[in-house]
Amino acid sequence: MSTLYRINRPKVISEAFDDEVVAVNFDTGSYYGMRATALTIWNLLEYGASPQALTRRMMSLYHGDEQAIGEAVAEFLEQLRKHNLITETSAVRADADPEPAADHRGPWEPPTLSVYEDMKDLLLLDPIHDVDEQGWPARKPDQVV
Amino acid sequence: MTTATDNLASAGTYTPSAAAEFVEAARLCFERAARAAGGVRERRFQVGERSVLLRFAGDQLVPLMVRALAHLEEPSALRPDLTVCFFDSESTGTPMPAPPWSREQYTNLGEIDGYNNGQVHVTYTPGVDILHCLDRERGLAVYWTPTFRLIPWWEQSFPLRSILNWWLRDQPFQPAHAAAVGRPSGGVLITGPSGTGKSTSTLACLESELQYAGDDYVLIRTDPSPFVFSLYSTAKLEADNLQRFPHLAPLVSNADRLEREKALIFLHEHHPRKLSGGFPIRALVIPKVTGRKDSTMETIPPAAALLALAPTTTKHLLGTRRETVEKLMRLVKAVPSYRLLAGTDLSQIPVAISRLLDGLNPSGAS
Repeated sequence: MSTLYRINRPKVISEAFDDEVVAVNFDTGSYYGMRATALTIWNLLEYGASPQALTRRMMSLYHGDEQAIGEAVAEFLEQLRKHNLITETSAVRADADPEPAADHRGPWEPPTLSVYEDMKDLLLLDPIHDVDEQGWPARKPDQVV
Repeated sequence: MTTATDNLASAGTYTPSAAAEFVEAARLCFERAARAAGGVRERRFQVGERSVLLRFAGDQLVPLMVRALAHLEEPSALRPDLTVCFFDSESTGTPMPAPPWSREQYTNLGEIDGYNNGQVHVTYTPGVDILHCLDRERGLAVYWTPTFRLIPWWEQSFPLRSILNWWLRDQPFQPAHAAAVGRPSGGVLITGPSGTGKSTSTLACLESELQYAGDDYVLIRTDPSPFVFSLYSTAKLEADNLQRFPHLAPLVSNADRLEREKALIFLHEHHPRKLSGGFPIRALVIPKVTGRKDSTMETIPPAAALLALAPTTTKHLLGTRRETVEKLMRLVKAVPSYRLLAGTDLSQIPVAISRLLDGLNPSGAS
């Protein structure tokens, strides 16, 4: 049986804005932007989906080579998994739409994930190691941010 | 060794969590520091729609914390919504009792593990030695540092930033890393990461009809309608950018330290009429320096505005990321967003913003 994935709620929230969705991973403080085919896949992941099901749905929505679409979907899911935006799930949500959406049949473009990691430099700061005899941290001017 | 929680023997009937007990212990220490320093100095401010009382043990921290807020000072006899107690050990001769947590509980962002929950927030900022703690239910915060001499220059430009952020977590208010200029009828929020032209675009408006509500951090109200309140009267500029604003050079408060500090100007001391307490937010504006002469506006998707505003805001405002992002999402959905293609002719920037406001406010009310 193939793996099912869903959005990693509640650690991740996302909001749709016209033709783009912005997701935030609260564990890391990173932000993500997704448009076009990435947005379509993200919306399907809300209900839970397998790579194969996502590929089939993309084939119904876009003109493109099946193998190329399948590989792009798998690569995109791997990116989402690496950023902990999705997690494995045991079942597709009951309210998922079983029918393909209206056939727009636009040209296929590989999904892309835009990453904004403004917290990264802060998360890499050293925690406090040295404290004085009272238990308060010893000042380290080179840690000033 | 006496610990802070040991002092609770004299704290009466107040016995909540260990985190709340620490805040009370810190408050008791403040009271001792105030007696040692000859009394409490009190200053009252109107922050957004709330009343905030700042209490100082002695005089040393008063100018450092009050100067950027002076335009919000408002004497009031009403019970304050938030009280913040400030003291330092050096000037008061009063040591802070040892913390009740271990060194392993200091996180790399300064939050004390186990001392941050829905009611209480405690942080010790690494490298700058400032303790902030807040009990939201009591509307009580304590700010302590070993010595007033080591308060960094930027702390003076946005005092209370973290405490206000925690305190307002469940209210429709949000400190945001943004500037704001406009008219009483409405204005724009100018935002984006540091170095993208936010301060330059904002200070370019000082010579125009537009008023100024802040150039670094402002207070946003999301509901019932988007509004921005001024928080700080400071203007900050990179030293090498000061040459573009020669009229501001004589106003710089730290001219002798510009090799390691941004130029800091307390605008209410020089241009009090240019300062606005706030106005309705009509649009979000994200500047982009083009290198061309002229300045123009173009519409951008709301997602682009959120990605310009939210990461730079949550980067430095810890402990409330989810609530902050949700409030900023509401704001971004409520008003249109534009990119300001900022040219080298700075006089065109306020013109571009005024034209935008004219278009969004056809009545022309001001």
